[in-house]
Amino acid sequence: MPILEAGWVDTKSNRWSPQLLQIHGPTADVTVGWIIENEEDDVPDVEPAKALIDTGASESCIDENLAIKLQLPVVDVNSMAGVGGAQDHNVYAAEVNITALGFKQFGRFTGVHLVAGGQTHQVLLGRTFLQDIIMVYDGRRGHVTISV
Amino acid sequence: MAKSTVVRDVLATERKAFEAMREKLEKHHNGKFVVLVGDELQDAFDSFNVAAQYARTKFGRGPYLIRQVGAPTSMSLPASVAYRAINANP
Repeated sequence: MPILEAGWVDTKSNRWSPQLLQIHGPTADVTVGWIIENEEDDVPDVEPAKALIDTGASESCIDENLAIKLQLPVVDVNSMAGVGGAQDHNVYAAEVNITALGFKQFGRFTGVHLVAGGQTHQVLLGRTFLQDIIMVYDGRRGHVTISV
Repeated sequence: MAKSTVVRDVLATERKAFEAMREKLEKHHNGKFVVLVGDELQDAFDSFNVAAQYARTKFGRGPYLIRQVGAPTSMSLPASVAYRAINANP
């Protein structure tokens, strides 16, 4: 069974870092996109992205500018409540591929300004995504594994 | 960089059609993921994964609405987005 390491390595000690894991959270390298066969345009098929595995989020999110760059289809509009009140957000469809696990899935992603807000991640994978994976979080060692 | 635009107007027809058929959908397709193009219901699926594959194959980049019948259309911003520790970099 393929296993993905989703912790953070301290580049100085070359060891898993509990501190970096606590700051950034479990993170998977993924590709996102919307591949249309035989489509002739300048739209990139997929882009690599860092995805936060967010057990505290019910839904998944994507950086709005990445979604626009990939011309992901808008499939709905969601009202999302935050500290500044409720706002409408585009909801995009995208195919997420965790290459290391050979795992592909289409998902709904609410468009939010992750990068502009200073986030490390361009994608946030919520519990709708987690229902198909197993994650083991070892906070003491700063080590996270994901499998399907 | 492309300018972000909320395209609720683009899906206005589909969303209006969904509201018009909501009662019928909740009776016959509750919990299913439906695909609407214009004011027409295309089909209902057990998962978003299958609905999205269908929509991509048949309609490319859209526009189309994919929505789970009976699911809330509002949600709370995840805490990881709303509250980021801006001085947390080691």
